[in-house]
Amino acid sequence: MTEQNLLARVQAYSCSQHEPSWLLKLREQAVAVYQKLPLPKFEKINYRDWPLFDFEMPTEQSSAEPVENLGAGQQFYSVGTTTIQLSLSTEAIQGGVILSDLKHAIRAHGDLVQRYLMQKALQLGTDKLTALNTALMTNGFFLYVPANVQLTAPIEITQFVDSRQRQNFFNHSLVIAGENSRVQVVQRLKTLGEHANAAHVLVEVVAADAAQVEFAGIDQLSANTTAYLNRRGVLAPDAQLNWELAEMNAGRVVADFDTELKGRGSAAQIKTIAIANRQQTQGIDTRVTNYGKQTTANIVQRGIVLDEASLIFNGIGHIVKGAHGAKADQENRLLMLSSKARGDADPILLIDENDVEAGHAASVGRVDEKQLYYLLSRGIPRPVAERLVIRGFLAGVITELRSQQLRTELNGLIERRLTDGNH
Amino acid sequence: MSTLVIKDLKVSVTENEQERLILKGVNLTLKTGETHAIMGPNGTGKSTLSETIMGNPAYHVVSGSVTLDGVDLLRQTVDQRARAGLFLAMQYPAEIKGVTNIEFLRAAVNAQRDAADQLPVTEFLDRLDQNLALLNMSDAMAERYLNEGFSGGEKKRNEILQLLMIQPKFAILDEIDSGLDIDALQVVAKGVNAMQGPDFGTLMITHYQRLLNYIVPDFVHVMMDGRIVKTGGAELANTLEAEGYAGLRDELGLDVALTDDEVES
Repeated sequence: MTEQNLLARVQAYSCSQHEPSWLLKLREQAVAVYQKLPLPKFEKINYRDWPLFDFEMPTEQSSAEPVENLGAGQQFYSVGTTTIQLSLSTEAIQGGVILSDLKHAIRAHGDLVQRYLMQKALQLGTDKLTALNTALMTNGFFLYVPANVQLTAPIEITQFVDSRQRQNFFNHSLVIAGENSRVQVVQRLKTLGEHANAAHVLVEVVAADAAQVEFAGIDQLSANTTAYLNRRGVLAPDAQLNWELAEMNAGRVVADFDTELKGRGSAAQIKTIAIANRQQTQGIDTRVTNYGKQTTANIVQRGIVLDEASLIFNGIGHIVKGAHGAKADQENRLLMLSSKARGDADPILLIDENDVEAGHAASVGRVDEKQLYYLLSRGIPRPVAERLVIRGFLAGVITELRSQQLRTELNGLIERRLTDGNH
Repeated sequence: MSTLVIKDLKVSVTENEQERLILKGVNLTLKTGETHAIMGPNGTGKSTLSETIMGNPAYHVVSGSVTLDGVDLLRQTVDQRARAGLFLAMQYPAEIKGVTNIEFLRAAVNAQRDAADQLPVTEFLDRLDQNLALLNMSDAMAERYLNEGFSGGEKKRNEILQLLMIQPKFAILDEIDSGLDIDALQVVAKGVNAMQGPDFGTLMITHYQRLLNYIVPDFVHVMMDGRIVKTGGAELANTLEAEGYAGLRDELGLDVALTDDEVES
């Protein structure tokens, strides 16, 4: 599609949605930026020929039939661009929490959206794919937690990519946590239907002073969904953001999980587990940048590679000049279960200040033979024993998850991923 | 009755890319209902024997056979041997974070049974409670991750807990007494003695006679330099305690170097 074409279609879409002029302008700028910027670089992955760029105009997916039973217990549940279910607990409603889809938020809370959308966590100049998403996004979820509101129950969000027909999915979500607020979000990404589609999913998390955000992302996109995932957090002073991310997708995925520790004393924890099997490639860049003084970053990643799959973890810890007393730690470990599998666990530390602490550990290894022998010696058959050893390998992340429910859910998902196919 | 027969077993290990012969022809027959003890100085091949019977891939059988009721165990995988009725209480049990003791025990117990005949949860928990109580172990031990952060004594107890839950035909206890104080040793012995009966055979491997005060053997075998050099009753352990291995070596006229170094581990 030519630049003119893309621009015209984006303008036509914005107009059809009666979008405010600031948003049309943002989209127009995004189109221009998209044309100019290079693709974001994922070390050791060439995704240029992936069907991520086979996009048309922003599209409404009005054909989506509601699939009621898939959204049980969710506060937010959508299929394609259609939001099917929305609910909030009494505590959230009384606290003035807003949960809606992005489309509704643009109309009803335009000032808030305008203040945060592509302004704080992400900007138009960030990269080509982010700009593309901004030009073409059609919906997402919008969560606003006012200052001093501390929610006890998690906000559960399930979003299906609607692959019951051939269409793209450009999704953009915003989480805004006000000063001294507290919120847990669980975002589950899945695919409905068998068609081959591209999914571009962006989430911006903005944590104000002393806000505490727990964000779990459980991504289970199907083999026919090729995805670009970008979750980005930005933290004000003393804010905390904990990411718990599970990449259980079956298709090709490049993921960018970035956190910017802007405010003094802010802290981020990122725990990632990923499983790649069959011919799948998953590339995950996890970056934390310490800008503020006394900021703390901790990345722990565990991945398992089976069959002929590739899994690449790039862990990037960047301490910029002026971030006195900052800490950046990371540990990336991969377990290879097949001789044809490919795995890389690359820690990258960029340190531009002196009085800081930074550390990293990385390994790419095979099943622990001593553990395996012990389990076998108790009569446990090899496939089961191997899965238990793998569970032990992932324990560095799983046992640290705060929610028992998530631990159980993930153990189940892992078991299914490992027994998918010949394993 | 079941019988475990070890015939002229020769086993080597790879050290610095060279094969070194550790077992130089071991002959031993165990029957259920019997309790055997193998004693011997360090580095003599006692652990090699137990690991070889279990099927540890680090040990290479050069020749000889190990059969259980006539079935060749050496052709079987480690898990098959375990399901055939072998159990090895290990000197250094592995630790696995993320896998709880209780789910591990359940997997092990059910592995011994047909898919159609898995032990119902309530029955499993009843047995677990009884055995925990027998070994003075708290319920919390079952919920902890497998051996992770366990003290030396807790690990030994956990090995015996598995023995009691799995109920094998033959148990090899590899230095189950090492690092235990007298109270812990009594508890471990209580667990092993609770297993004793006509359908269970024990092979204890130990340096010290002390264990044999609590688990009284029918047969004591002395191993030196990769062979069993003498077999006797429980009284043989007392003789050894009094005279040491050097005394026996000289009495038998063996040309074997004895060392106090921990060659074997």
